[in-house]
Amino acid sequence: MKLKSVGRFELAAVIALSNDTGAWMVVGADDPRVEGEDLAREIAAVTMTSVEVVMIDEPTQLGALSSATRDRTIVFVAVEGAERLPLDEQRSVLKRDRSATLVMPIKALAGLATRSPHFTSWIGSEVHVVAEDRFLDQESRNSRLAALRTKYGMSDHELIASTTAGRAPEDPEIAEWLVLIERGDLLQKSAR
Amino acid sequence: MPRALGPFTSRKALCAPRQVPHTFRAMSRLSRYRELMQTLDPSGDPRAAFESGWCVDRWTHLAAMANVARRLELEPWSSHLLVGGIGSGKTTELWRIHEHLVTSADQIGAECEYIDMGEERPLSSIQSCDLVFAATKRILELEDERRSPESPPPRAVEEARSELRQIKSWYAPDDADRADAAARLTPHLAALKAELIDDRNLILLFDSLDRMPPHRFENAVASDVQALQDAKIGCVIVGPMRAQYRATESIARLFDHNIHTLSDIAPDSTGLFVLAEVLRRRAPADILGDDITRRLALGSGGVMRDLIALAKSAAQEAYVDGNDFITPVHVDRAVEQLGRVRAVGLDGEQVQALRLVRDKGTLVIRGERELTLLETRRVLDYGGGKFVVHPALLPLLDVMTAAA
Repeated sequence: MKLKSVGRFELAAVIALSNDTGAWMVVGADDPRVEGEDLAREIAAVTMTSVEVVMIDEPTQLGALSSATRDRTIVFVAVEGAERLPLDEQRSVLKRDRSATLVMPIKALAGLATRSPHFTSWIGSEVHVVAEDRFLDQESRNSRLAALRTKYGMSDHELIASTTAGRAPEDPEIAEWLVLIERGDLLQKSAR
Repeated sequence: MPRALGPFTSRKALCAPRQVPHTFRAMSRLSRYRELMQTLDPSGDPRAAFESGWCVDRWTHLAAMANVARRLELEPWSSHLLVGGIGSGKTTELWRIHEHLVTSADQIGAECEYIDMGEERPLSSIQSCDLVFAATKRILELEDERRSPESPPPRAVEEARSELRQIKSWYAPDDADRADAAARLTPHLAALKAELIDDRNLILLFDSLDRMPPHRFENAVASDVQALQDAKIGCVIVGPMRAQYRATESIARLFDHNIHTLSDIAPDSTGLFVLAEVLRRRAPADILGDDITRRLALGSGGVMRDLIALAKSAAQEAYVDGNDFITPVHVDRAVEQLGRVRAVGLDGEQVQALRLVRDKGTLVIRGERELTLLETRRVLDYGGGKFVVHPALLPLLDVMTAAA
């Protein structure tokens, strides 16, 4: 049984929604280092805050690293030893004020519920695998685009015109919309 | 300090002047969903939930929890073990007991303190003396808070501090046997208690020991529970779920057979009412309708934390879909996601065992395989020999079986 893949931007939007609760999310990736950095960029874009990527070189340091960064939005990356992370043991010191995303190799997700049943229960359903947004299935993409067009009362062309003119609303969802219609360049152009 | 590979500063692309009508509409919706994320957080602090009035009396289990509180009223020096499935609400119930004892402290003549052992020591290395050490430390902190800065510390306080310092320097954290250290602290505990609260009683609630390796639980707590009993200090200890099924006679004797089990809430008519009420206190009806709370309750199987997690996940689905309220489609997606998270990593034998539970409605606990299925909440125990496969996992069982 596999987890359903979600788009990176959608995942970032969900993380942003819970950013103030200090919620944890686990993400499986083929290359956790690359995914950690990509995800951090997306979360920063959506939350409009600074997001740090923190490598966990020594699994037992997770609690201390989390405590030291509890008031910041963090993406933790565990590559070697992800299976040895003491998630249950250190759960009491994993309470945070801002969200934390833990990126680990996909194969390490397989034993997560058995190795760390307390942590897995604690984070609820927040275990995900990321798909590039361009690989989102067409149905999901169309449904999301339709929702965004209805919500803002604009067509894709009107959105592009509005963003180019600097009149687009300051919403994370506008950024998501631009990415979905493959006009992420408008975000970067305005960022300079 | 954490090693930061690189900060990513937000893009400023979206800082253009706002179009008020759109922004207002969007922010208002965003704010509502952000608020929901706060109230529907399965990792939220149970004490905060309790203080916010989000907790509902679980009358199906009230008898068991009221029993703990009543026993402590009558015998504030008694020792109790609280067990139950992961996410069943043990910490919340601990705070409920705390609230009850604190609000009726004058009548009962007892003070009550909550100690999260997971914040005191690494749980994998907890052993003899750690509970008593944490208890002594807490009483000293309380004494410090209550004494006026001008008054010198009483002799009992100085002596207890000195003993704690010695014990800390004499024993390495991984010393195999420190039972004698617990015995050394007992007279100090009793003296401190007398100094701090005179002839009143003291009850300590120790949380998080359900997360320590189960095979080490008994050895780790035995001498400490004895020391607390000798000092006439009452305690409730949250222990491993496995003690519910494999409690040894010596554990039962240690706690004078005061072992209390918190079961999941079977989503029958009464259970559904309780579960729906839990959600209703956390989310308004216009975003989480009555039919939706019922659907979420059924999907949770009555596991309190799963109920909150499902509601949060369904709210995220609704937000991503651009909806102002949660629909059955969002609940179905949330239930499937939870089911998939629980299904990942199951092997063929476990899938077969789950099929048996589904078909027979019960589980024969023969060993590690069955205990793991219970511990990981793939199988739920409603008490009275009734076991079910978690409802979120149930629809995926045939797909997994075909693949196995």
